[in-house]
Parts: sequence; structure tokens; C-alpha cells
Amino acid sequence: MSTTTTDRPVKQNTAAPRRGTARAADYAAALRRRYRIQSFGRNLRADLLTVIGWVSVAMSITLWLADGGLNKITSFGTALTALGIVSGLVATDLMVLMLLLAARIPFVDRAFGHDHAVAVHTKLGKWVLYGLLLHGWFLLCGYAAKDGLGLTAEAGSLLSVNDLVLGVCALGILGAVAISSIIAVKKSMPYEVWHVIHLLTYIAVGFSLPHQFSMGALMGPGTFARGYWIGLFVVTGFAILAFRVFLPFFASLEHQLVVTKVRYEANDVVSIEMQGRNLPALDVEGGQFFQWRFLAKGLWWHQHPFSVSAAPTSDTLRITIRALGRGTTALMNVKPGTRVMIEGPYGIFSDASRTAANLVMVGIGIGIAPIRALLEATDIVPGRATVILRGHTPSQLYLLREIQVLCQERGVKLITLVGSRTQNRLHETGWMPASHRGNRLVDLVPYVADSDVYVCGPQTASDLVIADALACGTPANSIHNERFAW
Amino acid sequence: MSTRAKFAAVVASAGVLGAGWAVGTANGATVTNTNTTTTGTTANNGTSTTSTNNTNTTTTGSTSYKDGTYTGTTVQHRFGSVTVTVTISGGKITNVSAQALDGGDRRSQSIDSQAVPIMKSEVLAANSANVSTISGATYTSGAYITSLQSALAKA
Repeated sequence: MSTTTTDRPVKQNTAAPRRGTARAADYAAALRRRYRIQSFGRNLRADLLTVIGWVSVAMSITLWLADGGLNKITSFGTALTALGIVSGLVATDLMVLMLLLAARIPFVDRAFGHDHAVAVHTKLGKWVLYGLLLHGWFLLCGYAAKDGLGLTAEAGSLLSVNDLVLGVCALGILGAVAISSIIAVKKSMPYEVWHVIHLLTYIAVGFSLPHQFSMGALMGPGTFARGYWIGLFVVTGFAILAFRVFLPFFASLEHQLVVTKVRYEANDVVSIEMQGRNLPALDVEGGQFFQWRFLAKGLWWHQHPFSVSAAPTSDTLRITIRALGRGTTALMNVKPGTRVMIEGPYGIFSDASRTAANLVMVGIGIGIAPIRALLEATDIVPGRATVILRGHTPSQLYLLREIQVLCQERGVKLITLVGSRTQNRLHETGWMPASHRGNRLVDLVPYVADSDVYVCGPQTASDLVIADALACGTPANSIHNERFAW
Repeated sequence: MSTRAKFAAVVASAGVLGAGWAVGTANGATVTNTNTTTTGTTANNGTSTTSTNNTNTTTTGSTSYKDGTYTGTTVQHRFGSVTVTVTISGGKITNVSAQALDGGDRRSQSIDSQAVPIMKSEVLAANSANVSTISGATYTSGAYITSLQSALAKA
């Protein structure tokens, strides 16, 4: 919740001088310097977080080593037990990292980018599950060897411990969560079903906690390790509550967004304008997105990620959306007066990721919407920026008139590409239409190698543009693509 | 992940792991040093094949106690507590019983139920608290010995 009550002015672009003047060269140099410092800082923060993540894994093993873990290995059985303990500790630490990555902590999201944070979260999930399975298996074998029992007898004896039964349930739930997140399975179910299954993770974590403290010798009362792990769990729980529950809830309460206008843009595409209080306090940058929830019958239980399609004013926000699924189709008919809950703003498909003074923005289909907002909000050297709009038909160049006006005002070159994709001589599919067969990005934008390239659109088409930009010499960290990952 | 991040992560993690290892081995060494027996004959008759270090007992090995039944102090340890009751008859330990309370989990129960009979037979054979702890039940057997010592001190 923001404490700002005065009307802060909406973020203004630094006035760019006319092209060709002496001041224009100074302006370009200043912008280059500013974005270089910005990207240096962001890389540094991302690296710092990466190192902290790795050190936390090392820390989980180190506390076990410091407790004399190695000295307890005296036989094959105790060696298995030790492996089981270590794999459990590492998996627990990775689980904590996963939760922190998904907690929408502003510092983390602004360093990594929300989409990258979610990608790392997804990647870690697999390792948590492997680690926990090994944890159970090694401990079972280790205890069986030490007690001189068979595996089933040992399992039966262990399962008489209540805390452990909870632990096994936790593992089962996490397994179900992992299976539901395999891409093929995830696509086969509505997002809301997947989301509910995913929320079970918190129950699983709750179930797994008792056995860690009652059975794990490492986390016995009065030990440093106990304090460390409890601290880690408390901080993580606090971050999730604060940034995923309270912050969005109070932001929705404070800003009181209400739909004021629904404008037809093209077949299946509308712009929804909303009015609210104290919007500058949200600090939205053009190109960022929110999770939107429209409180109307049949809509309230869907949450959708949409980018703002115009730089926000002091009391309005606008999104431009296309009917792509059942949920978005229902949204086409949302009535003015509908209340809206928000989570966000998220993402760094904005001025915050800039690394260079030159700029290329590629919007494909409905991906034009965030490009439109970015074009309005980010700083531009006149004559050193290009917007490329791509659609199958002229009607798919959404918001074209607004973009034409902005381009003219800001000295940005506008290129529109219409038609189906074509193949080149090597039968590789390109992203350009037949009218530009054989062209590469550099043929349209000579300075592309020395530019920030923003790409938004369907993933296959976006990937083709990214490959083109890389081939034209744009550094990978200057290419920005918001993947709509949850 | 940049090269810089990879390098820093490897160095920092190795440092942290090294520190843990150093602390772990240093603690192990201290434990071994303080556990050497100070006096008398050790009554390690090898009933427990898993015996490790000698105990840190300072009992003199005298075999004469006053007849009677004595209950030692309740000794707390990381997973529960142990209270030992010892019966002396004819100046010798004729019976020893222990009440081992644990945190209520099945694993501790299984450890306690294995450790207590072994300790009993070792104590009866040694006729003193001069017995070794059991590896795998270090906490229970350590607490057992301490409680036994306090009981014998009354005898």
C-alpha cells in the first residue's frame, strides 16, 4: 500500500532534441552512458542473487559437515544414511529457493525479470523432486542396513512415526504438483485447475516441516542449524505472504480500479480502459504487465496476465486484449463499471532493461500492445529507433493509428510487415512476409547490432525474430522478450 | 548465468563447504581427546561390536557398594531423557533398569529399545559405570552412563 497521497506527475520522458543538432549527439551519448550503467547494475544484482542461491546450497551441506556428518559414516549403512540426509537438505534448500523465486520479490524480479525467475523456478522443480525421492530411498536403505531389517519391514517400522507419515504425504503431493507442471500435462488442463494443484505445494511444505525438526538430528533443539533453517523458512513465508497476498490485496483496495470504456479495435480485439485512484503510486512502466481479475459473474475466478497498452496516466490504465481462449473471449463483453483486482506491475519488458541508446521494437499480432506502451515510455534518440509491426493481415496491425502518431512525434521509423511467413533458400522459415523475402533484420534496421531489440508476440514467431537479431550481431543481453510464463 | 557469476558461485560455495568441513573435523578431534579414560581397568568386554571411543567416566573401578536400590538423576539429551535405577546386593550390581523417554518418534524408540539391553549387560559384566557408549545410540547411552554414575555415587 502506498503512502503517497499527493498527485505525483506521471513519469515524463526526457525531452529529446531535434535530430541532427549538436545537442542530439550529446543526448545520445548521455543516454548510452545511462543505459550502460543501468545494465551493469542489473547484471551485478542478477549475479549476486545467483551466487547467493548457490551459496545457500553449499550452506545446507556445510551445516551438516560442521555437525560432524562425515564422522558418523562408519559403515555402508551409515554412508547411505548420510547420502539420504544430504539429499534431503539440498532438496529442502532448493525448495526454499523455488518459493522465493515465485514470491514476486521486487528486487528479484527486477534483477532477473519475472519470466526468467519463473523459468529458473520451473527448472529447479525437477531437482527438488529427485532430491526428495533420493532422500527417502537412501534413508530407508541406510536404516534397514543398520537395523538389519528388510526394506519392507524397515518401511513399516518407520511409517509408525506420525511426522514421517506426513512427510511421505508431502512427497506424494509434490509429485502430483510436478506431474501437473510437465508441459504436456499442463496444457491439457485449464489454468485454474493447474493453479489449484500448484497451491497444494504450500500444504506439502507444511506437512514436511514436522519430521525435519523432530527426526532430523541435525536440526535438534539448541543447534545452530535449527536456527538457520527456521530463519530461512520464516523469511520465505513472510516474503510469500507480503508480496503475493497482502501487497496485491491492499493495492487493489487502494487503487479501486473500475472499467470505464471498452473500445472495439479489430475483430476479436478490444481495448479496456480503467480508472482508479492514486495510480502514479503503482509506478507502472510502459511494457510492464499486471495479473488482472475482473469481478463480474463468470469472470472473477480467472486471472489473466495482460500488458498495459499505453503509458498510464494519473488516473487511467489501459489494456488491449485479443480473444484467444475461453477466458479472454468472455472478457470481450466486460461491462463498464466492473471492479478490477490487480497484481503487479510485473516484468522488465520496459525501460528498465535497456542496455543501449539505439532501439528496435518488434510487435507481432497482439504483441503490439506492450510495444505501443513501451514506445511511449522509454527514452529515444530521434532517428535511432525503429518500430516493426507484423501481422497476417492489415487488420492485425492493432493500434496502428496511435503508433503512427507516436512515431512521428518521437522521430521513430515505423515499418509494417503484412503477410504469411516464408521460407528462405535453405527452407528455413523466416519471420518476414513474402514482400521481404530473404531480408534480415539488419536490412530493415542498419544499426540493429548496436541496439536493444524488444520482441513481443506468439512464441514461435518471437523466437525467429530473436534468432535473426542474434545472427545480425545483437548481443543476447540486449534482446528482450517477455515470455508469458506464470 | 555469466562467467563472472559461475566463478564467484564456485569460489564462494567451495569456501563455505571448506569451512563446514574444517569445523566438522575439528569438533571430531576434540571429542576423541576428551573421551580418553583416566583411570583403572576398562571393562570393555566387547559385548557390543559397535563400541567406539572409551567413555569419559572417572569411576575408579572399585567394586564395593552399599546394598540397596538407588535411582539416578534424569539426564536429558537431544532426543529425550534417561533415568537409571540400580540395585546393589552383596556389594555388587545385581540389577539395573532404565526408563528411556524419547521425543515420541518411532526411530528414537527403536534406538532406545536396542541400546538399553546392551547397556544393561555391559554394566552387569563390568560391575561399574565404566562402560563404553554405543555408536548409533550415542546420546542415549551417554545419558545412561551419566545417570548410572549419579545412582552409584549414592551407593
